[in-house]
Amino acid sequence: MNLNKLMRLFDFNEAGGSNTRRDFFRNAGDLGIKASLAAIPAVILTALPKMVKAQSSTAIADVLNFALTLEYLEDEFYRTALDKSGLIPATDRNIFMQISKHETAHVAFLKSALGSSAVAKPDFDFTANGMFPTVFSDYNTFPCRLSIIRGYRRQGIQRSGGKSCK
Amino acid sequence: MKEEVIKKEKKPGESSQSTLRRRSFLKYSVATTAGVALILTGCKDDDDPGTNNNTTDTVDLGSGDPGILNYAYALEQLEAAFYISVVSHSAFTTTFTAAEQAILTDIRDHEITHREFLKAALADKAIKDLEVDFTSIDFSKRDAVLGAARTFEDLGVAAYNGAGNLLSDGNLLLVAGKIVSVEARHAAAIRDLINPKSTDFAGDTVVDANGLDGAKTPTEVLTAASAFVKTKITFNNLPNS
Repeated sequence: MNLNKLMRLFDFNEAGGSNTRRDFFRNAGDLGIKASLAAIPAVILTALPKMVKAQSSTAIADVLNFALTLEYLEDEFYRTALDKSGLIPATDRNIFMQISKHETAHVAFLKSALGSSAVAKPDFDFTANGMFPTVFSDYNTFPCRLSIIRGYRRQGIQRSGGKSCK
Repeated sequence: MKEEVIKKEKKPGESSQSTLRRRSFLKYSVATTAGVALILTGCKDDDDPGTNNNTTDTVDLGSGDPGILNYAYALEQLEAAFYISVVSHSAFTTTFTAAEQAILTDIRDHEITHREFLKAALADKAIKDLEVDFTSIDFSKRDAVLGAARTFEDLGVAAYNGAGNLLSDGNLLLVAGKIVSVEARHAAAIRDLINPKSTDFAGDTVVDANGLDGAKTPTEVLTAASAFVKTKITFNNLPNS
């Protein structure tokens, strides 16, 4: 899910003394990452602390909450997609169900680890401010647009004859 | 050494995509090699058995962070040697489809890069080249090759997961995380080749109810790996907590 790249982006942003959404996008050279960031409400992005080495328990909770926020994003993405009838072909469905199961487990695991410190799930916009209006209606938009599943995409979808996601 | 690593990765006739991917990985790994080497130099491990106790048939992984890196280096040597045997076998091009050949060749190149990266990072603390034994694997059989590949990749993932907490330097943990995620991609790809379009790519036998991959101790991993390594590996001085 490009956690490191995302973290570098956040770091760079703070170093530059700017924290606008536009700067995130300018610095995100990858369309998939742009889409991932766009799906997260601005208030979450700007509220994220600078994440360096976690030394205090607060810093550790901050990093885990960052991970939890990304897992919320992934979990809701796959659950929403699986709920749309006709979006995912039957032959691919068990793969997405397996991924979805893991994302749900990750959310539960992190929430359990954080206890009362866990952040609430934000509201997501998977169209990324209208950039991808067909994200949950066109199968070629759905798996191609979010970098969070890029690793899977290369292994599965391209090889099985799906459209290339450049 | 850095130049050598780069040269090894540039191969004629590669697709621009895979060249690019490899290049960006290398850009990262070459940059951190210097950092890791510095970190290792700074470690107080003068009493580290390291390579000093090595005999012809035995290597000792050493202690502290360098010991854990040697542990990883031993596994990457094993994986690289395996995929080199796979790709160089006379039946490779008839046993596997073009797409499968591309995947296996790509994995081979990653494992070579991991091996060389760790060797460069360890510098004079690196263990010697291990002597491998793949006589139990029939490289002319698709099932045998993919089955062994799955074993190696699953073992590699569990090994890194079980060694992370044994590292004392957070920067090394970051590097280990960047390697284990690649091993997990390999495991998923191989598992999908064995049982296409199934849930095996991240199956319930390797990913638990929390959505977490397994972890194995160095003892468990090296015991499993010993079937494929002639060189005796001792690791009594590795950190164990």
